[in-house]
Amino acid sequence: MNIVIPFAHGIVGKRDIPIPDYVFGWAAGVVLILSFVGLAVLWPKPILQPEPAKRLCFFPSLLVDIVCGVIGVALFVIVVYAGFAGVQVGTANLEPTFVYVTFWVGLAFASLLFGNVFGPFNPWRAIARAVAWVGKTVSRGALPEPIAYPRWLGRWPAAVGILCFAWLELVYSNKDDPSTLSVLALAYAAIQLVGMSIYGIDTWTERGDAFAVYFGLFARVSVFERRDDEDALYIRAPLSALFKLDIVPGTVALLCVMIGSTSFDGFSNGVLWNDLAPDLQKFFVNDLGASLNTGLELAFTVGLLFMIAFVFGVYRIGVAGMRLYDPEKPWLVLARRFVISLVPISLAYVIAHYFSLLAYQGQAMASLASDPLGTGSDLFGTASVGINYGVVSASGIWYVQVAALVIGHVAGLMVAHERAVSDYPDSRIAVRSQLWMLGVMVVFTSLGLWILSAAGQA
Amino acid sequence: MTVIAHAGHWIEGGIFAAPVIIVAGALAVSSVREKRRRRREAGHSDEGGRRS
Repeated sequence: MNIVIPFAHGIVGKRDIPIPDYVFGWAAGVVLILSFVGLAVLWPKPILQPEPAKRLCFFPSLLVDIVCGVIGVALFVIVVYAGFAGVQVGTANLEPTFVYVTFWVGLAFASLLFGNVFGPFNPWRAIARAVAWVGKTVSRGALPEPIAYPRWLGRWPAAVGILCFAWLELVYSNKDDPSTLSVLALAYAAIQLVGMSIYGIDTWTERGDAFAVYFGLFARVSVFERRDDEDALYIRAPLSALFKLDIVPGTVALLCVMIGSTSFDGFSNGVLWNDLAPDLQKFFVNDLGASLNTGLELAFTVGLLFMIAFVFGVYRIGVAGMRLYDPEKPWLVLARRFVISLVPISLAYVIAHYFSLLAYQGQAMASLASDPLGTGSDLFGTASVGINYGVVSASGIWYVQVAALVIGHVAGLMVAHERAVSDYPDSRIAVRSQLWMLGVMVVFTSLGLWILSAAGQA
Repeated sequence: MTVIAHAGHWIEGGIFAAPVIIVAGALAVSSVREKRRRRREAGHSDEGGRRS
């Protein structure tokens, strides 16, 4: 069939696939069920814990942190400066593309491939470490100790941070305004510096810095791990680092926000939402007296929150089902124990929803790097390089999306199964309890494919 | 009226939900069986308690 489709994020393509989209959804469901059976038969005891790892090579941690930190701070300064000093047109200024494509999407892919890439480049962490080093040198090590991070706060700051960024990207009508983005970037940096000064650099980075936590979760799926105490780079089994994650309050909320916001990004490009949104907007405009723009933002806010609540609801039902086999454990304990299975799903959603954005809009960085302010400069001779939409076909993108969703959900099943066989001594109970996680995975896979298919028909 | 007007899209989306419906059915059956099994086990242990 030949369908002309506008891709998510405004990119037009033509998909030519031999079978209807929903058949892919059915096939994905069959793959998940077969994977579940395979795991039940072939994976009777834990194999990812303790984390199997092998030393790969020498890794100069401090040197890498210093060099990458300087680059990270320089990039941050350049991007913020471009936002203020450049032309106030989203597509002509470096900042919007850098923030929404290179940073937000590109780093997620890089985290999967290379591990915790954002860590050494994190500009806020680099500035804080430099200031701490200077402070220690000047005061001869007499710096005050950070305050103990409250256990109840957990990853809630990160969950709120990602929700705010998702709102900015998916709801706010002025999201492409470069100077607004610069102000927000500076505000975010200031909050991180305050957080790090109060609770310590590493503690805040691991719990409160939304982006560090977000990319850090994806990096745990990767096979690469740096060990600073040995100055070495290790290779480990994929997914194994997830089992070392400290499950603190806010982690379930964070994963639901991550999956829900990505889902809404796709859903909001679909036919159904494009039909519903004007009606919701009318309600806010006619009944509540909002302006047209505010009404639309409110409608999108409702959609975003609904999708996050839906994701939470599905996971809530899955965990409630698991409790049939382990009724003594409170719901929240089980929810936290198994939440790491949502990390590969979240990553799969990111790859599936943003692969086309990275493949196409990512190319715009070549021209924007030469002309970051949009003033006609040509610093590297690449200002006139355009976007090659032939780099990957619309059908190719669909196949990548399907593959990402299926692999991600099978990986989620594997993580949940590993957790179950380590938690339940009776392997039959472990397998039966995971029937419910199979249900969760099938729902998320079908939802993901339906959203992507619907976005392709909008 | 709006909901009816969008029914076509809901139905089209429903085709994607076929695997979800099948798995949900399997889960419902397995839950009922598990509850029955627990009830039976509880009944057996009560009988054992009364005999002793």
